[in-house]
Amino acid sequence: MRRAGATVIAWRVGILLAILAAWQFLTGIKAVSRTPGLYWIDPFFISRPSAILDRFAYLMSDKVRLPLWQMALSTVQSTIWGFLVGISTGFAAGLLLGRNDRLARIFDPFIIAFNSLPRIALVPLITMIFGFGLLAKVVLAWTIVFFIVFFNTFQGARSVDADLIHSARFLGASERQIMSTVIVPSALAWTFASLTPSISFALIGVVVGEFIGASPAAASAT
Amino acid sequence: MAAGRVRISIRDLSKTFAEGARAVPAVSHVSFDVLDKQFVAIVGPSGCGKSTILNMIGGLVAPSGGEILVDGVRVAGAPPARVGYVFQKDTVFPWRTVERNIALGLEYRRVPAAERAARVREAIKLAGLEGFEDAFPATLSGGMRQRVALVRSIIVDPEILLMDEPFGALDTHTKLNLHGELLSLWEAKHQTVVFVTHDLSEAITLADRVIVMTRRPGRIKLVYDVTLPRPRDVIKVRESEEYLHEYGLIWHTLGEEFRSAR
Repeated sequence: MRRAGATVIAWRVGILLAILAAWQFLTGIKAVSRTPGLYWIDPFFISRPSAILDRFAYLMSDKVRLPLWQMALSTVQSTIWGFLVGISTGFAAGLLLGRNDRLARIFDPFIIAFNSLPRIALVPLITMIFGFGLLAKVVLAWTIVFFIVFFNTFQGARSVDADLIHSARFLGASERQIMSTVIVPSALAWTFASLTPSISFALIGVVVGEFIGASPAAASAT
Repeated sequence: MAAGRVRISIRDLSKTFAEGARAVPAVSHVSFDVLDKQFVAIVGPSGCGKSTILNMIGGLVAPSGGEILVDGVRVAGAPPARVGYVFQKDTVFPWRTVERNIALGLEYRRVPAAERAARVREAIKLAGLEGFEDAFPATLSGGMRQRVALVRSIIVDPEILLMDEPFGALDTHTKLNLHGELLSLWEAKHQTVVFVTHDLSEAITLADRVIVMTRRPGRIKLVYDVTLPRPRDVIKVRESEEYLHEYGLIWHTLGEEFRSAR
């Protein structure tokens, strides 16, 4: 991503402030109606920036059993684990199947079938097997991240330039050396491209897990 | 050229590619020998199968008929030992610096780090790439990248060098410079070279023997021994009477093929 210039940052801050101000202002207007207490845009449903700030301060304080920052920490921790485990297994599997046609053909239907499963449907099963703790959330994040990294690495490993492999072979490379000096570096370019979406999806996996059951959960702090 | 022993022997070589249900003959009954330390150029119109012949010598493509012997051993499915290959396409690894690209062959052979560094330094000097050791290929010109590819092949001391239009994508000026550099590298080690090109002047400037191919399916049209004295100055040689004479002779033959190919 490109670095933002001062003008760009100024515009971003300006737009953000405008949105927040409009939100605060609009949810404060009383509807012209005979019913008392009725708002034009009801803050009961979409809240207001000032109310959110109050609630945030309350959740961060020691008046609650588990402060918000501790719950957030747990979420971040699960996300990072899910991300790391997803990347390493996805990369290894992508490399293996990307360079082995027979294996790729055998596993293709299973991978497509498993990847089309809505992950949310797996949550009860994962909770039953892995409980309500960190592990369940990591597993859920893993089921998403794995496939993102897998498909990218798989494509990367398949599209390695054949002439680069030939050059290495003419320079005396063994099959193992071709793997480490040609295929892994070429495939990595594709794997890197999948890292940004992976971290978001790891977070989504963890939050979905927390919504449905696992604890402690930042998602429950609503 | 003094008659040396035969390094590459090509006997009745044919290759037919399957294009869907159609069989497309690319090379048809080609036979020739390449002697030790000989510089042979194969010239022909595009699509005449000259690169296919080179790929078959390198073991990258399997022949449909006939056979290839390198040092008396039949080539089958893998690059023969002590053979280097320079591709037309840019095959410098983009994720490695110039220095680490050139070191590849030595790394593969597990040459100790100190010796590797010394040999790479020498090669970089030889190729005139000083100051670019730590540059990544993306920052280099096409000519420099091809120079890296060339010294990367030569550093492992191949006895046979297969070159597939290595300067085909370069402008005339860069090409002439690289001809000069290739000739001085070759004169130092006298590798056996098979050089594929569609550029007749390049073939005559560099080679001892020029093999002219017909258009598809490629057959040998003419084998011509270039008598220009060595060492050759790539610029001066083009102005000499002998060069013009030989160029005219071969062009007359090759011209028929180019004309009928278009």
